[in-house]
Amino acid sequence: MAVIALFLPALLMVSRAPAGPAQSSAQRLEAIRQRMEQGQGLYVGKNYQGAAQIFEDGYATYPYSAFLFNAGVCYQKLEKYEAALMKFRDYLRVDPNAPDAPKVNERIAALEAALARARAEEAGVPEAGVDLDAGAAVVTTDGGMLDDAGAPPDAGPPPAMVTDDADAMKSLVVVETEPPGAPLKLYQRLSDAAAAFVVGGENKDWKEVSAATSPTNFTLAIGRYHVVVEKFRDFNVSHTDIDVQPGHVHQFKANLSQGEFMAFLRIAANVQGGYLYLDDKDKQRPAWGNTPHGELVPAGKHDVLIEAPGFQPFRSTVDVKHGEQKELEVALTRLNYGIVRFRSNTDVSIKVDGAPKGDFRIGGAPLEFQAPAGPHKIEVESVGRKDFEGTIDVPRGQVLPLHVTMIQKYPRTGAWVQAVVGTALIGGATVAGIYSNKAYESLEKDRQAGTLTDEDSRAVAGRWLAVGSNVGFVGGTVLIGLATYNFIKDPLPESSSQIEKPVEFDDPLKARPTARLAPKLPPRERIAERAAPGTGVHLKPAPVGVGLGLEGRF
Amino acid sequence: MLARTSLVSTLLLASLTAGCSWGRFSDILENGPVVFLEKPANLQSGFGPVMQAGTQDGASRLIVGGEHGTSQAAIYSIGKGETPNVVASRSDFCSNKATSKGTDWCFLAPQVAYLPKTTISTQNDEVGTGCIAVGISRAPTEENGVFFECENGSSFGRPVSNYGEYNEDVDNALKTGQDEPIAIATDGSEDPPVLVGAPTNDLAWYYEPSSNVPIDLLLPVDDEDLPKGFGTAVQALRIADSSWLFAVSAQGNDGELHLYRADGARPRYLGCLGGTPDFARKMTSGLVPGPDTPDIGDSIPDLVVSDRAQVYVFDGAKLADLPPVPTGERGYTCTLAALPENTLITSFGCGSTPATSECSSSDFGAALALGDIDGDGDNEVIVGAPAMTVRGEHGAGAILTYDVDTIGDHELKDVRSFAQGEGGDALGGSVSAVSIGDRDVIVGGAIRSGLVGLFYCSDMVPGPKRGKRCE
Repeated sequence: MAVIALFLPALLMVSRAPAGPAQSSAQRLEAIRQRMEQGQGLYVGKNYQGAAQIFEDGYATYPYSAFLFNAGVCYQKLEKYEAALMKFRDYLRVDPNAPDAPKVNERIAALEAALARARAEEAGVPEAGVDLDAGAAVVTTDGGMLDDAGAPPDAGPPPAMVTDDADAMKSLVVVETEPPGAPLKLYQRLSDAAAAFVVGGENKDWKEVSAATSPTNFTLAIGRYHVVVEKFRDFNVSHTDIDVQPGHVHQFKANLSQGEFMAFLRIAANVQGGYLYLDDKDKQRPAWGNTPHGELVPAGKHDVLIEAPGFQPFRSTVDVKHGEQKELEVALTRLNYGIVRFRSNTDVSIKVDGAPKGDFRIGGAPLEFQAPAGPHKIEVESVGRKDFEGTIDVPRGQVLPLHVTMIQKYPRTGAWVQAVVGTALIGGATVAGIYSNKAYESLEKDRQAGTLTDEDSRAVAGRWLAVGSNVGFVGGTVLIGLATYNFIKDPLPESSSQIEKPVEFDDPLKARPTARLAPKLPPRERIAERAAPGTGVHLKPAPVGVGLGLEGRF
Repeated sequence: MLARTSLVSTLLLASLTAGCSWGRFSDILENGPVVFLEKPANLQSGFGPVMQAGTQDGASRLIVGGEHGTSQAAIYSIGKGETPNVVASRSDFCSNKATSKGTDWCFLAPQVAYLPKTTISTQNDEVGTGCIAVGISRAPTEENGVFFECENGSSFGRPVSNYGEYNEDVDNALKTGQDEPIAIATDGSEDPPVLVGAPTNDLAWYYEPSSNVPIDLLLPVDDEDLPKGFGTAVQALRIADSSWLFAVSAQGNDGELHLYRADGARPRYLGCLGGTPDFARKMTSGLVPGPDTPDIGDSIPDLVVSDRAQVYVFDGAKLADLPPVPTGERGYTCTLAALPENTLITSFGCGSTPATSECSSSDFGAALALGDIDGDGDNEVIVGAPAMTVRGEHGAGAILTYDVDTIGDHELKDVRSFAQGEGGDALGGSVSAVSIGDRDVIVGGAIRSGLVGLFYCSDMVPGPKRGKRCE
């Protein structure tokens, strides 16, 4: 029976709960953090176009106003004033209650004036209502005069263009409470010399910039802030300082029952995807996360264990205070050995530095063996194939895929036959020559004695032996020469190796792909299947995002 | 490139080596010390048992035949120097001839004779040159008898003795093809007498030079039977013009040597020598000690005879001076004891050398010849020993050469054999000597192998006369 599910958009959305891919909260924040930090990095590196694109993409996936502001700053840096204006206006549209709304308006005004000037210079005539000598004028983006909704014509020169520095990027600050729904206020420190914030105190040099209900998020510039969670139900006040860094994502969570903000611990490493174990030295529980990973953690000391295939385990202890945002950057060190993953085109035996390492059988799994990092001599042998000798450089903490192509030995059967026959010929020729010489010596002796007849058969035999000896020597020499040539000749190439790029160790914790199983239906759905077909409408959580769906069965 | 060059060099070197090594075998045989005569194809019954040397106009001739009675004979002009003519100039002597009336048989004699020149009285006194008395046959126009064939193509016959109706026996043999062996000898002069022995009938006779008339050699008593085998071997020695010493061997009983002195047509019986088994089985004659040899040197040939174990050299002059046995005196005693002193110059037996052995069974003396091997002007005695063991080969045979300089003295100077002599060759079954100019060379027949070789080298030959064959 057909099941048609209609998933209607949710009627009630948290205004500041953007729709994103289905992720856990921590993962989602981590993804946002990565984009923000990436964009920050590009901005600091003066790759404003790249940074702008990162922020644009970030907003498209995670529509937080901080991305808009940061993109606008990048466009302003690029003097793409129209684009910058668009971003800043979007920023105010998305977050009209942003604490820095007035300043953003000033920025917008300055950009508009700059844009008008630029256009006037292009045209070569002053725009209507524009007194070029009066300095910057307020000009709408469409080139018309600002109406009464804008600054009055006699409001004075427009504000100066903001010069953004490396700290211009804004950050996303997420504030949560447990339980949610608590009212909170955000204060900004106005002076570095300001005294610590005191709840209920005068708090000179502190200014309230926003009030909201948890969970909430703010787009804040660099600086110190203080968030106060006001009395809520039976819970007392909770508060904490927030030090905002540019282009970051900060997360704060207050456990109202304790009256304290949790600490936030983020651990990053030079290896992405490393397994983090927090307070779990023996890895009794699943990993806390994969680097980089950050979560709210209770204040206090925590044992950190980071493991990654190919790297030496990292152990440390961190101490976080209530509300502290701690980031730990760890440089994992690769293992001092590597693994060679060996393949060949035939059955072979392998030695490394003279020590046997095993055999590889064609059709079987690759032969893997461990070796200390560094250069090693490898010798590969196979019956009927040319031996291979070479040097491999085993990387630290990585797998070195190695394929050795064993070339067949050039058949030497013909050469052996030639050598044997040639040797036999030369041997026979030598014997024949000896006997020929003996015959001659005998003839000479009898000639000296005066008894040698002119028909002595020894002369015939000696002559034939001499012929045979010479033929044997010539033939044997030719064959030996041919044999030598054929022993040396080898048109086939040498056995060779192909070393691929080192790859990371296999991660035993990663699940192997399995066949796709039919989704297991919940019990009530199975019961519904057995029921006679009919119609019914019921609510169902939306598979994506937040919302409710209507499902009908016909 | 280097490999190719090395290979080519090796091949060239091998080729050069090949060329050198083949050639030396031809070189060593070229001008070898022993040269074989080529056996004519028509001689099917052996080669070598019959051998006789002669001289025609200063050039050596050698007559070689196969088995007597069945073979033909060939004549070789050996020539001078060291390049002999080994091909027979003619090889059809004593051939059987087919006629309309049947076959005209010719029986090659075991001992033939060479006549440098003779007058054929039955052919208008035509002069025959280079004639060979080959044996018994029927001449084309003459009677049956001793057959002579000449190198110039002439042939004639001389009637045999009719003593005891021998002529009829010869006639019957010629009709039936039955061999009638005779021994023939001359004294080596240019127109010599011909001495014939017919051992089957115990007869011997001679023809005076250029005569057809057989003159019988009988005992002092006409009717006394001649000894068995009388005429087995004959030898003629020229004493003076028309005066000869004839030696006739009788081998029927113990060996006997009957001597006759013939002056013209009058033969006189001188007596009998003997006393050892097979005495005078073979004979030859010539100057053995040179004419200048004290006591024994003269110009009258000496007589050399052999028995089974020894060779005896008799002074021909002293033999010729023996007093004739008076006619009518019956009986005779064959002995050497009655000889005058120094009539027997010397006698000797076989001598062994490191290469030869088994003298006692060597058939020493089976053939005799005289030759001036060392070119010193006198002849050495050449003795064949066909059963001698040579280099371990039984019966390979050898030829021994002795020098006789003084009475009672002899010295074994040389032993010749074939380098590859095989057992049974019987080298020495026939021997002779031919002149090559400044010296004579030994001719030896290996009568069982059918080989006749000229031995150019000898230990006796002095250095200047050795020639290239003896280098």
